[in-house]
Amino acid sequence: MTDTDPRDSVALVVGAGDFIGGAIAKRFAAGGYVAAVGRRKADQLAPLVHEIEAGGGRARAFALDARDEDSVEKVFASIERDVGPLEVMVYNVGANVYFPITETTSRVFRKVWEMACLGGFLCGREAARAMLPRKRGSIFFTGATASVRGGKGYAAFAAAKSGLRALAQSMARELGPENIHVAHLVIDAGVDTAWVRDRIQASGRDPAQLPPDTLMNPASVGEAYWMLHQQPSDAWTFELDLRPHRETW
Amino acid sequence: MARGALVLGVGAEAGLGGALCRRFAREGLAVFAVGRTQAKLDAVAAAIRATGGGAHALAADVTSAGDMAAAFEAVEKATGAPPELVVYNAGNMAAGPLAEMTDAFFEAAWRVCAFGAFLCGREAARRMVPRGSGTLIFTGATSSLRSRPPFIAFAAAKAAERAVAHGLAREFGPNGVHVAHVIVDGVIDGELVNARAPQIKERLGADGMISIDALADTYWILHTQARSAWTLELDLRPYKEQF
Repeated sequence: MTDTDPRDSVALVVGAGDFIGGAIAKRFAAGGYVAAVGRRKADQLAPLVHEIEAGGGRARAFALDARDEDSVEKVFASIERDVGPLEVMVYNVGANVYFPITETTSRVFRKVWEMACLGGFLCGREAARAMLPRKRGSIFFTGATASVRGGKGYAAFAAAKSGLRALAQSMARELGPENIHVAHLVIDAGVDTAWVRDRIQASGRDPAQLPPDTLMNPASVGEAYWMLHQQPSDAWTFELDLRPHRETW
Repeated sequence: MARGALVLGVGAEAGLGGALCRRFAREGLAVFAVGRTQAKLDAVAAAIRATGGGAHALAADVTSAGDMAAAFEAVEKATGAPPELVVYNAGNMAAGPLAEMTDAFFEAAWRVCAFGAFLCGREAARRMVPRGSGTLIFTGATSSLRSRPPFIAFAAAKAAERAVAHGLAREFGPNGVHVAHVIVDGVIDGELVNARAPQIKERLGADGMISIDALADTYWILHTQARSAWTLELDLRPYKEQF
């Protein structure tokens, strides 16, 4: 979409947490888009909105439960009505849990699937409905190692993430000819977030002693989403992986 | 002295190899174009020099270990350092019915795609690892993942090339060398197809082919990725391509 004129066009990040989602929103705001950011608790978005606005960008916060059809439809309608045409939708809701299979309750399994897969369907469908009449837009899904690999203890997460990847593939094949770019990014390593550092701490290692570039910088990840959105339509990427140079896999 | 880029598998100016050379030269790199045909390489290099870029033409056989080492040597001699960016873009799109395929035909596809990729990867690793930096990009194809007649020899060779790229990435990423494999999953709007089968362009229509300049942009982006978030593999196709 190199001919994009971002004036008043909206880039929505669903699952705009403190890290990858926030970095993606900041990158698109820096590129001139109105960054619409959504998460269940909208008040937690205030620091992100302030940071974007302090940097000269535009941002709007939305309380959005991606698992709830009514909530999703309301937010997408409100964006189109009150903010501007939706040009980019990034589905970035995480649901990474670790449970041995015998300790995985049906409640956990269902909830993880609702967050990682059903929400992607609801948001992807609404984005397609908004973008199809204009025949332009980008719909990006954040994947993980578990999207392509069912690791030990990640049955619920991997099942849900594989489902999200299949959704993305189907949407790419259906919407590509309509000039809507659908892509899936496989984030194949830890991103430098407080949550990941806590997990490292819990595993008995000191996160402060990690060698440089062990974890991915969220801004570097945000850059990859921006780059995909800049691709001209005669050479689109559906899937790419991202990891730090010292990652073993 | 200028930083060097080595592009292996350069043919006509209107091909992907030529576009990569022009893209890297535009970024200020001294480009070394390697291919089989001196006259074609000279044309690519002359066009770059005419616009103020640095370019050298090296006729060589990428399936020869001696020629491969000599190409890397030439870059070091001219720039004082190994190339910071190397692209292995050689390939032959070998096509033919399997029952009539000769041994030599099958082996030739393997030599140019897989064996040449190995020679390139080995030379690049030897020179980039001590410096702790460098980018090595392989041009893959639909056939890297999918074997379909009449491209069976090509697919067997491209799958092997992909395995070389993935292995190199896992071995040398921790040394600071970025290895990437680009899966070109569509028809390149380049000399190879347009000269051999001009009817394809007509059939695919406007925007039905991948422009060589758009491809070259993505190679450059891969080279400039921060090493805290590197891509090993990505696919590229036109928006209306069936896949």
